[in-house]
Amino acid sequence: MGNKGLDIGTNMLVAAEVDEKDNIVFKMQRDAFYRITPKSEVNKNSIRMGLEKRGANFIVEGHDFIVVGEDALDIAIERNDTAQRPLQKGILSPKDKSSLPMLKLIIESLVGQGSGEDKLVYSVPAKPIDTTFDIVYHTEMMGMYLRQMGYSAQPINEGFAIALSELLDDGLTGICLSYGAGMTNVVVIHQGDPLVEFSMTKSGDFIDESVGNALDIPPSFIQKEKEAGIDLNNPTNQIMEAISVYYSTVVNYTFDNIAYELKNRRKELPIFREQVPIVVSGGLTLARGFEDKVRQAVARLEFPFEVGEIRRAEAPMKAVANGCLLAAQL
Amino acid sequence: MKYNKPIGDDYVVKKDGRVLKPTGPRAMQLKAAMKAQESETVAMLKEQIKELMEIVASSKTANVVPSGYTAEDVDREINKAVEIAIVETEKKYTEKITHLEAELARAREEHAKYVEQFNEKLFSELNDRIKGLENNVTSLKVKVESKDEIIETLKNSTGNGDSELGEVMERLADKVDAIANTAFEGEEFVDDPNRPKLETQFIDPLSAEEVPDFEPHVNVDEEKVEPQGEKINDKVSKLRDILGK
Repeated sequence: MGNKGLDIGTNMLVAAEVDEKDNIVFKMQRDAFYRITPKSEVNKNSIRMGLEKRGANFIVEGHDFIVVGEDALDIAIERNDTAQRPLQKGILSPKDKSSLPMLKLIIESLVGQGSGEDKLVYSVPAKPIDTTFDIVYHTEMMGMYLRQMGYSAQPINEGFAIALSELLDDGLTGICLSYGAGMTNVVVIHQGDPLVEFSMTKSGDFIDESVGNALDIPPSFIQKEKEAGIDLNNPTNQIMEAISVYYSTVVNYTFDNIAYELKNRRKELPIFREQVPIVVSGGLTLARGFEDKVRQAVARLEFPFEVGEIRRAEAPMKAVANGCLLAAQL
Repeated sequence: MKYNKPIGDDYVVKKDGRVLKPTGPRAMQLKAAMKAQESETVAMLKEQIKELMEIVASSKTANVVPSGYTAEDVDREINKAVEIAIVETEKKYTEKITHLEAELARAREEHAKYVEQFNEKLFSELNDRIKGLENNVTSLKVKVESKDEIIETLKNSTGNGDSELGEVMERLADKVDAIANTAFEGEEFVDDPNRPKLETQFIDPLSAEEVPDFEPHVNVDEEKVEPQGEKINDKVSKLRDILGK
C-alpha cells in the first residue's frame, strides 16, 4: 500500500495509486445505489441469481439487496425508478445519514484499508457562489471516514487537483474547470498560486433535471442518453437538442461568473505575461463539441489576460484523481 | 672716294657690323649750314609771335572774345545755368520731401489704426474674461445658494437606493450588518490571528448501533495506465520545482 488519490464526486468515485512498475492504477465506481426489497424468499433467491448473473456489485443487508455502482443506475431505470446517491450537489448531507454507510463501503471497495500512515489526498469542492451550503462539514466528515480506514487524509480543492494533473507543462498557470454531476468547480491559477476558486451548483444534474422537466422524461434516463454519447454541434433528436441548449446555458453561466470574479479581483491579479490556457475536465466534457461551447462562451467576454489554448483534460474522468495522487506524492 | 654717310645724328650699321657716324669735316660743314637755316626760321617765328601778341593785346582792349561771347555773356549764362540747376534741385528735393511727408503721414495713420484695433481687441478680450469670471462667480453663487437642496437630493437618493452612492451605502450597511450578525450569533470573530481559537467538532451522525450489518459482494475492476512520456516521479519533481517544495 502506498499514497493514494481519491476523487469524491457526486456521480463517480475514482481512486488512483501507483503500482510497483510506476503504472498509475485507477479504480472507478459509480456513486449510486439502489435498494431492492424482495417480496418473498423465492423472489429473494431469483433476485440474487439475477444480480450474480449480470455481475452486479451488491450488498446484502438483512432481507434487502443494495445494488451499487453502474448496475444501480441500470436496474433503477429498468424498474422505472431512480437510483439514490450518497452525495447531493457534491457534498454529504447530515440529513441523509442512511446513505453514509453505503458511501463508506463504496469508498473502501476502491481504496481498501490503509496502514495508518499511508497518505491519501481526497478532492473537495470549492466554496459555492450560488448556494449557501457549507463545505466544511463535508470536508471534515470525509476526512474522518478516511482516517477510520487507516489513512492520513488531506483534502485538496478539485479544481487545483486538475491543475496539478494538466497544467504541469504550463507552469501551473491557467484556468481549470471540473464539470461534474453535482457541481462545477473552477480555479484560476498563476504559477501554482490559486487566485480564484469557487464552485457552482449548475452542472450535469442541472442539465438532466432541466431537460427532464422540459420534455417530461426521468432525469436518470437523460443522464444515460447523455452518457451514451452526444454531439453538441449536431444534435440528432429533440432530447439531444434540449441537452445541447442546456449545455450552452451551463457553460455560459460558468464563464460569466469567472469573468465576474476576475473583474472584481482585478486589482489583486498578477500580470499574466503569456496566454492563459483553459482546461476542462469531468463527465460533461466527454460530449463532442464541448470545447466549441467553451470557445463561444469565452469569445463573448473580456478577461484580464489573453486566453490561450482551450483543451480537454487528457483523461477527463481521471484528472482529479490523478491530481490528488500527485499531491499525495509531494 | 665717296662715303655713304648719313646727315645729322643718324648712323648707319654696315653689313659687317661697323657703325658709321657723320663726324667727318663734310658732316661738320653740313651741320653748320643747317644750323644757320634753323636760326632764320626762329627769327621768322618770333616775328609772327610778336604780331599775334599785338592782335591779342588789341582784342583785350576791344573786350571781345575770339568765339564771339563776352565775359558778361559767359557770366550771365553761367548764372542762368546755376539758377536753373538750383531750381531743378530744389524742385527735386521738394518733391522727395513731399513724398516722404506723405509716407510719414500714411504710416502715422496706419499706426494709429493699428493701435486703435489692438486696443479694441484687448478691450474685447478683457471684457470677455471679465464676463466669464462674472458668470463663474454667478454659477458658484447659485451652487452655494443651492447646496442645501443638493445635499437634500443626495440624502434622498441614498435613502431610496436609486443612485450609485445609495447602492454603495447599502452594500456597506450589509457588510456592517453581516459583521454585527456574525458577532451576535456567537461565531468566531477573528481580530487577532494569534488568539486561541475555538476547536471545531464534527460528530459522525451514524452511531455504533446504527451501523448496518452488510454482506458486501463488491468487486471493482482496476485500470492500469502505463505512463506516456514522463513518469510520475518526474512529474512530482517538476511540481516540487514549481511549488517550491
